[in-house]
Amino acid sequence: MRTWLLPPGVTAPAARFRELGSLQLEEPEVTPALAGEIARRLRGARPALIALKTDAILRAIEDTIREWLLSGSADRTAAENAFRASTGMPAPTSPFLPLLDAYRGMRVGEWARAEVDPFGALDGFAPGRGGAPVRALGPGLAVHVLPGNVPLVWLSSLLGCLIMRTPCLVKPSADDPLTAALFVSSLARRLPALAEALAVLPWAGGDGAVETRVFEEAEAVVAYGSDDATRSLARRVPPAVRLLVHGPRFAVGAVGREMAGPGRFEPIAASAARDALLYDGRGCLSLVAIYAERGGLYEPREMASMLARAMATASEDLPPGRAGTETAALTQSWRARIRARALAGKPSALFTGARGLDWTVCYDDEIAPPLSLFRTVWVSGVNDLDEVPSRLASGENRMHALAFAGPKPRGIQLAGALAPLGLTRLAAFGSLQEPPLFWPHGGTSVFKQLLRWVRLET
Amino acid sequence: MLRYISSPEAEPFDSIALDVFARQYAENAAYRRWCDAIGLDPALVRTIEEIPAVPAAVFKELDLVCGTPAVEFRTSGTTGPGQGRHLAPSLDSYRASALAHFRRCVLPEGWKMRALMLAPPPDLAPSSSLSRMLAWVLEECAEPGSGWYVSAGGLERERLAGALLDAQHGGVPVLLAGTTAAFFAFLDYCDDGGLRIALPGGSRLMDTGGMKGCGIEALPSLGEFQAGFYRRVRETLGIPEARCVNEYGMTELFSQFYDAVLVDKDRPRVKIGPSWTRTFVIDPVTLEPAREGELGLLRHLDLANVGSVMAVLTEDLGRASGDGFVLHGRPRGAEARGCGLAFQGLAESA
Repeated sequence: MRTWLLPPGVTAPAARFRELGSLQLEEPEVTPALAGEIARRLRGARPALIALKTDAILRAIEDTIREWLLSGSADRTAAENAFRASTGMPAPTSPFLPLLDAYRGMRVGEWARAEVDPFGALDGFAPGRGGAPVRALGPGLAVHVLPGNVPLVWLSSLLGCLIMRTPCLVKPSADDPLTAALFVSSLARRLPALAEALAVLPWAGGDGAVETRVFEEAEAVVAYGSDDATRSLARRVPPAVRLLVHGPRFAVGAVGREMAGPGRFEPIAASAARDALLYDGRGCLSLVAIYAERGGLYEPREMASMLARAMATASEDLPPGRAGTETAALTQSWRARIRARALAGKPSALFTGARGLDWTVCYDDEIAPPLSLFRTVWVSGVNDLDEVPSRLASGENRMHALAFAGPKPRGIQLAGALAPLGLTRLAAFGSLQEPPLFWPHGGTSVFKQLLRWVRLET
Repeated sequence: MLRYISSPEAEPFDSIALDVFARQYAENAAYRRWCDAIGLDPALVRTIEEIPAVPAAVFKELDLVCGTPAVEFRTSGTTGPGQGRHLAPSLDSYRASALAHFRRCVLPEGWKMRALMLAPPPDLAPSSSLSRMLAWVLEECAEPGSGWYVSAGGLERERLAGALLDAQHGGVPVLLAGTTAAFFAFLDYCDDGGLRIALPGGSRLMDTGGMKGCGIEALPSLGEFQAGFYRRVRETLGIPEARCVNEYGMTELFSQFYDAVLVDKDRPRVKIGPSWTRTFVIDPVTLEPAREGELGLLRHLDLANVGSVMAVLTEDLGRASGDGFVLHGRPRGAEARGCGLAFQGLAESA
């Protein structure tokens, strides 16, 4: 199966084949010249893209999503199989549906209308605030460097660019090798004019020569990835090109004392386990730590123990994929540290699954939760939820979202205190990994970041 | 144990290691608690592969020593909480092991050399195991004119440059030993001043500590880093790559591992340990032996750790290669440790 998709008329590149489980992937030999030619072609397709009506683009997007949501969707099934084979995630249920669900119905159109005001400015000059006509246009070419940790997390950026008439060159991750090509191909089937403005080209991440050529043609680069990867990429992006980086982030949970009791905490634990184990805890919305408030009927250590039982149960439905060597090494090191702290009489306890790195719950009141562990939740006791911001403020803070269980006013108060530390979303336990489309990923929407407004004043 | 280090062929390693394990289980209370906590029945340990290794992180929490500790070394990590402590009842096995393997891998000709140490002396860094080892090297392997070039004020760049120019003009080969970060700082100093030195043939360099503290923003692979570093050493100091030896050591182990570059030119960057050590590569998911050639965690058995705990599971990744291993480095995101930060900390505190 081809991992790439090029605009019509571009000479097919030489290809090599890679075995991925039972799949045989056809990958292109990407040279700087080829990448540069494709980027130029895409830029040239912009006028035709601008000539399309927004409604036509939205219809193509919504039809494509509708098809991908069908249980028999061939494209989604193929993409999911490649994702499973690549990450080792043997998820018995669809790994894509939790994220695709956010797009169900006519959500994309609603989303775009909520983001762009006046919406008609996408099709031509339209009366703006104060009466002056305004026109909204996206960049002339956006390069999207996709992640492999969580599928489809990039979809809103890509769709946003199309709605704002931005041709897109997409580099998929080796860990999710087919989704981009299949999705873009689905789109192009529904609106053939899009085929001229979209390309999927998997080059080797960090290939400086290719990236330099491609970024020279771009007006925007949207990059997902690790600190190392995005830092290296950023050095090749010319200063005039807008760079949107989605780096490593995580989510934490907070449980008020009101919920620390029989019949209340158990469902929270079950939901938290799902938040932690979905996508093996590799997502930017994966739950990595819970701050449990003392003073309820359950003490934080008991809650850690109950969470461990919930992790064991959830792990049956969400079994582990392949742990990276470095992540596994870090996780083992922290398991040992917590076990030793418990032996030394520190406020620590370790709970683990029976096999390998199935799941881990570390209870520790003193050590800040380490990041980047495999299927691990860190539970810390706090005397009051007011302590949570100071716990998170120490060290490098990459908190993205908060799962909260407790009285609503306390949640609002906590969210307000965490907002300056980077919080972009407060949600219920169990829904962390399924953000609504209307949540601006990273705290601000792709439209806000990339749309350029033209205003007529005479 | 000292007898074994001086004539290791006298007894088979495995039987000694199993004896040491039995003794450490009996005499090292923290080790015994660790073994019990992981459900280890010491009676079932019949091969050296079954000897339970203590993860390096545990040295931050437990006093892993047989009997009463007389010496204490501390790891230099500053980014993670806590420091690891290696306690031991005596320095004897450390001294014997460190000197013997240093001579084999860094001074295989049996020479004594003028040695210039780019590390703080033990009185400035009493908890640094590297400083202790280099002090022994100065005592046993050095000629007049040797000395320390890191003081309370940090690296003494100017004085070091003078000493190297003296050696160049006098035709005296030198041994430079210290942290990689200190060498980086000195190379930067040379670059800034346009200083180029051509050290006499036979000169050599031993560095340790890796790339942490070297001010490198985007970390390359360890191999790329080392190649670039040694190229700079050749261009700036005139020591060829074939005489640059990287040491891999850790506070928790009294034995060290060195590049084989001076003793086996066919595998210059394979790390070799002394015959009283064994290294295994462990699958980090299962903690079982990794498949041949696979990347995994390094687990060492070190008989020089006779007074503490012999089996240590490191946080370092590597691949087996013959009787040695190729170091891949520490997982990104793991706590930064290593001697490089000791140098950096000292310089910053000045």
